[in-house]
Amino acid sequence: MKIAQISAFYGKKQALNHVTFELKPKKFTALIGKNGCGKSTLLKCIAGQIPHTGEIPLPREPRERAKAVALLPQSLPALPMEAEALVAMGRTPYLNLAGTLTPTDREKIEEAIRLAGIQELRHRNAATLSGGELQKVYLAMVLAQDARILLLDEPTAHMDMGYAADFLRLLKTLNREQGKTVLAVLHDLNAAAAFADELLLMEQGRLTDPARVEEVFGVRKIFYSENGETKYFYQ
Amino acid sequence: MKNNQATIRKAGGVALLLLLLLCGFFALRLGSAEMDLPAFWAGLTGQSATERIILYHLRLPRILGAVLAGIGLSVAGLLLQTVTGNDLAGPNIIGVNAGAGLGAILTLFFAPELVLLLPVTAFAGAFLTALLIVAIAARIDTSKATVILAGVAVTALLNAGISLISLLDTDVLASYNHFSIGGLAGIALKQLPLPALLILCCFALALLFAKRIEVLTLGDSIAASLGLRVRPIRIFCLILASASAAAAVSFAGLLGFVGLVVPHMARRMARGLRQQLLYAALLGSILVLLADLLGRILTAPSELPVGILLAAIGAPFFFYLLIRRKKP
Repeated sequence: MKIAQISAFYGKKQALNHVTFELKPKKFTALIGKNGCGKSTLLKCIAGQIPHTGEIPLPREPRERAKAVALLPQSLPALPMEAEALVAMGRTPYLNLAGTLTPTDREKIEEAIRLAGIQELRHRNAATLSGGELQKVYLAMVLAQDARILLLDEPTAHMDMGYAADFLRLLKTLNREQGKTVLAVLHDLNAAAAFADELLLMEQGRLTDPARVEEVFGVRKIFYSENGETKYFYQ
Repeated sequence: MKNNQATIRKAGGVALLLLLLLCGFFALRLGSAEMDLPAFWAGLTGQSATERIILYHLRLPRILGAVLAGIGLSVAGLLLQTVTGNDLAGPNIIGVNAGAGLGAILTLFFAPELVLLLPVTAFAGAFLTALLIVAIAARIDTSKATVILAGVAVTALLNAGISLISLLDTDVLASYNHFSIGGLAGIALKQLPLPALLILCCFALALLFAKRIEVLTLGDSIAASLGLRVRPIRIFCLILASASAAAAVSFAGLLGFVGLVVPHMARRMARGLRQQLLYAALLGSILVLLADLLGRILTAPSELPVGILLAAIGAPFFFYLLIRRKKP
């Protein structure tokens, strides 16, 4: 999917400057860059939430857009409602005015709960969940939304390392087995390197050559070999 | 476990409905004019003229008025708290009371002969003020905080207007105080159809759109990502709440407190906005009905205005909720 010449402004400040890239279908793309460089803004543009110029080949009508692309923002409210009810809200774009769930909707909700692995949490009050658990419940919600593109804004920000790796593995599985196109803002370079098929590097509202990671972040790429395979990490 | 809780909640709803009917019965049965059962029955069936007038022209309108005011204010409060995500939001916050108050005091000051039109001017004041606040917020960004801040600013301005007029004319102040305390005494059946229509329409629309409105609680970004038109829905809710609360205060006076307390009770008892709306309507009706009944019988043959009793019952309960608010 070709995303071309996206520019967006906050007041007079240009947040995105002619961003052009190919969002590869069914791939896991990591978007990295320093704070305030425009990563979240780009996700919001793709989700159709903020005014922008440029080409994004997705429907403009909000409900149709929501059936194609789902965005999970950084801060997720821990509402005092049953986790399952939260997941069910993912069906919003498909529901009639009164919001009645059809058998298809129920199936999709069940499938989403299974895929996200939150069977144990489904009847818990979302306000009592840990940050990581809550993130999984919201992931189930966007899975129930059944969009082919998932946009995630720092999904592992509030998780400890173990839980974060667990969550990224889950995303990777969904990406491979369900054919979801994933575009995730990741702040952990090593996680991005380990899980993503594609890397997008952003600097001051522009996309730049991913090879410049070391320069942009002031880190070093360190190669090592494991089982005869050459791997690397950033330090 | 899950089914149990759902059953308990449904049973709670039925219990509230029964409680409402019971309160309604006692509100009809009891009052400053005592009547024994045969007389009560004769009044109900219309065989005895005096009792019939007391029951159908004095007590019944009050009961209906109390129920309507309870529904109108509670539903408005719940909608406001839901769309602003603020526990302190209530009809007052979008200027309903200040607007109704200003409408009322302007009428009393400039055209006291039009005192019969007070409900109309109070409604107009309340609804226009609420619309003004919504319009200001919509011009800026309709975010949750903007609505509340705009409400606080406009309310302060209108209250200054009310204070100014009451300083100019102390006679007006006396009549205004009567309106501002809120009461259902002297309400007539023919006053009710229009507010009833408004309140019940708003209630029905809120129930119909409950699933959509609820998605707003996820925050603007997620709601938009789910294909919701966030701004129009928020404005729609604010207008429903304004119309509903304005209709209630137009005949019942400034009973704003119901709209603050009842939504908290409803949210504790029910899950999902639709169920919460139903519970809020029931709880609100019961609370106003009970307060009005107590006001009529506690100091009979004189009576205490319902607004004072509402605060007396509502405030301690609110403290109780606050204390219980500690996170689970």
